[in-house]
Amino acid sequence: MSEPLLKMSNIHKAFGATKALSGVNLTVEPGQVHILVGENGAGKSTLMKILTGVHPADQGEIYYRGKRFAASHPKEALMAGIAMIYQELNLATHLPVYSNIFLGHEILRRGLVQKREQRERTRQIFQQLDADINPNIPVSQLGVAQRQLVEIARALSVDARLIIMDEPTAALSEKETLKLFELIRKLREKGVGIIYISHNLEEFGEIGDVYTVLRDGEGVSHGEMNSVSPENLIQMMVGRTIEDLYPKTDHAIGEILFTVKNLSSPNGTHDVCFEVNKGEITGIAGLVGTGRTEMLRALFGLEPGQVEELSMQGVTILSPTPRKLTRKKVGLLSEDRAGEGLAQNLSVAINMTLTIPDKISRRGVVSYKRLKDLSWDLIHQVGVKTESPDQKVNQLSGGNQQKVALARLLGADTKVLLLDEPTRGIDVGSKVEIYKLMDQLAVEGCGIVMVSSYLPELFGMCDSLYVMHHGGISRKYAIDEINEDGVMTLATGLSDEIAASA
Amino acid sequence: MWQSTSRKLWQLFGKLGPVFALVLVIVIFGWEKPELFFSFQNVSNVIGQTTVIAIAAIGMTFVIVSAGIDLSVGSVVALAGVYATMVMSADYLGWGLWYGLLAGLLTGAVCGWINGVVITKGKLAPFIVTLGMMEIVRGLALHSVGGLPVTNIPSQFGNIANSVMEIPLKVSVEFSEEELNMKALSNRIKSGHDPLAVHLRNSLSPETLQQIEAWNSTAEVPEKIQTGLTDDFNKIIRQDLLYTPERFEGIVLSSGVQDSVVQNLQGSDLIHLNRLLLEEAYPNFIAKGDKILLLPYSLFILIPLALVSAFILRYTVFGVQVYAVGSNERTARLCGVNVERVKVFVYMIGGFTAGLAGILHASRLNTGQPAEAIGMELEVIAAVVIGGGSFMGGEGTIFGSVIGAFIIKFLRNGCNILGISSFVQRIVIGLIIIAAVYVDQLRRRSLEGSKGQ
Repeated sequence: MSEPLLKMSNIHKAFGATKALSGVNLTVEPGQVHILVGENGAGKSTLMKILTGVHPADQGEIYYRGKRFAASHPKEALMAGIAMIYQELNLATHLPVYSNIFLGHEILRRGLVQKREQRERTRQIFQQLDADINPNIPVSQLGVAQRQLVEIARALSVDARLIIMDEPTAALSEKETLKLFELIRKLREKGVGIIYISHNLEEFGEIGDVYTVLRDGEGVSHGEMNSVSPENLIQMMVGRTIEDLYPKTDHAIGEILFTVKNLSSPNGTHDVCFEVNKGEITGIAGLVGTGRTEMLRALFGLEPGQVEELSMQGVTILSPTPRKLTRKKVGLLSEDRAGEGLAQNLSVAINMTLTIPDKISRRGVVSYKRLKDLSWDLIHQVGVKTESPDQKVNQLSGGNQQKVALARLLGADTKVLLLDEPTRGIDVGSKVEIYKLMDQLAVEGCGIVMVSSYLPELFGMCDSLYVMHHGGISRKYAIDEINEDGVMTLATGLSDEIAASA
Repeated sequence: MWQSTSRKLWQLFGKLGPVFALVLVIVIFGWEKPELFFSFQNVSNVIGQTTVIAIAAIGMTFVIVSAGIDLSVGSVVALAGVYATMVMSADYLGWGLWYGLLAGLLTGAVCGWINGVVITKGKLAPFIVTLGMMEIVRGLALHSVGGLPVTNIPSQFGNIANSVMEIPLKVSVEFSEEELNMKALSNRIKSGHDPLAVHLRNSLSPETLQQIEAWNSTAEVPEKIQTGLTDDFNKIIRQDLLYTPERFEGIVLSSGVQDSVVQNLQGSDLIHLNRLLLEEAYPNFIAKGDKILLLPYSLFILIPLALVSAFILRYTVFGVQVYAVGSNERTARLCGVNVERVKVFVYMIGGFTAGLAGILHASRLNTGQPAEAIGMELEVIAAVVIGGGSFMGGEGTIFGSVIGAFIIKFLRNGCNILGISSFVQRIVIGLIIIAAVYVDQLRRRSLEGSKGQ
């Protein structure tokens, strides 16, 4: 290792009066996976944005492949071989795969786009990646994991020497994650440097070579990955000890609260039955794209579907709608926080109380005092960090936004909480707080259904588990009745327990 | 600390931005030609023109806050005007004023209802549906009257938009002593530009003029008047004012003045005469005469409508749901809001206000014109956008939109007064729309930027 691929030293950046970065160093050797961790707001994204030319640095130097480097625009960085794969995938979904891969650096001849050549190159790259994706279909027809591959292929199409991955596994299932890791190892062998940003502690040891921990805009620690335990990392990230990542306490499981019998929907769900008891946290595991979200949406009346029987506390609910279920104290936390879960440019207060107009109004007239009082109560209850209930939701961090969405369910006195990926893409501190809240609700006698693609959290928090595969669902397993291998066997369809799609 | 202060400033600016802009427009134009721009006649005129746009903008605010758009407003304004006048007109139904008004409002509401139902049931883009409605409704308006204006309508109809409430302002009911005394009259005859002064200066003999000038230097006015009155002066005033009033370019003398002139002028009479002449020459002159504020009656439709609408949008569950649907329709649906019903209502409100605007517009013109208000929707949308409404939905206020309408109209009026051509006006207004939205974007970005990294 003669010279590092990338050396960022003493990087400073301030936005107005807020110091985002103060004196951060980061070095990446060729063929090295550098894990960059830190809570939301620690400065990870800002650091990467400086590297890729989105923001200029106030102070500090960047050396890339031995030369002074300062990109003034993301395209400049990309053409220099620094590719960023964002958490929210940046693809033009209407365009075919090959167009996306060459978007912004099209292969041109006399000013005309050479589509055939682009297609050919795309095929080659996918071969290299061992990916079976048709270059000609529009991206909208691809699943999340495949889209991620398209992003990576885009990075390779410019012969990237340094790839930055921001939470690449957030939307991936276990199996797809393993595939991604395999791919990362391949890239590493080719001498590509990788900066890997994640909240997923279990992944670090598996994939990382070195790590850097950022906290409040400062690099608090860095070193070899094998010299540090996940617990150490968490401690360095949050600056305090988190005693227990999964703060599950004993809670008495009572009678059946909510029953779903034979739910089917045009979007793939078939004959799904499940139930949740009082004081129970039950998980629904499965691969991404296996129809768990679709199932919950059909159940909640957000998409068409038929259900043979749906009952809450013994009362049957006919043809479910969000309104009816909310009245019956069943609530859904959407997996798509930005797109569905919250109205981003409305206030915290309005977002929290949108389901309960009756509680904040009299004869259709809203009482702003009641709205404010109720919102403050909820803010304190779930621990949202916000200046006031009037603050707009888009000014909050991801973790705090998720708490607002949860607070909405609490505000409606929800007894059965259907939580779809409740901790996706939020920092460890907030995760633990949300787990605590779930546990507390279970103790109080609520029934919780948690859909997650992240097995450790399901095993850490749930009392029982269902597994979904291709729109169908397994029987209910007590948590000590099944292990991760067992879940994967069911989820991948290796077992014939889950009836195949009709 | 610094950040929270600047943020508060931006937030305040967000609320009051349109008001600043309006004040700015008024100051800029008022500075140039205050006597024309600020005359009650002019202000009253602009208000009358604005109410039509402002009322339609109130409904459009609901639509835009819900992340929709209504391009059919101009056509609905025309159709509502045509139907309202057709119901009233002796040439058509002749059912009288009230049925006509009802017909106009109903026309608007039904058009809006159709917009809403087609958009929600057909799951079609509002832009497309209302673009189609714009054509359909315009066609209906033209077809139903064969493209001709509707006339022969009750005279009260025109009064709705054209009559003004005269409010005498007691600020300076009397002329000042200075203006009434002989010194002022002397000055006026010597160098005034009004018709009377010019006439007197040209017709009086040099000796009389000299005498008149002498009044100016004396303190004890009444004494001097008696001696100062010459036959010459007496005669000219009496003759010309009494028998050839047309020479004074429109100054019609009241009987009070005539009476004064008939008699031999006395000193006190002359003061009286001076006062009457001043009053007659400048009935609305801000700086000199008795002040009379002219408020168009349509303002008394706009204000309550704006208050009620603002209340609905801000303080009712329905209003909160309109914002929610506009900000994120999927969230609203998840939260059990009946999104379709909210949208249909929103477009109905939009249609209803367009109908009301149509009635006022027809009343202003005193006829139902099927080819009127073409492109008015763009002016209405501009008013909402200048007032802080966002096409992304979830943002906008009634207050802002009404102010936006006034900004546009005062701007046009100011340009007219300064003699800026209507072609250039369009350029100016276009620039202002873009600038308004740009400034709003800056504000929003700086608020969101404070989220941090």
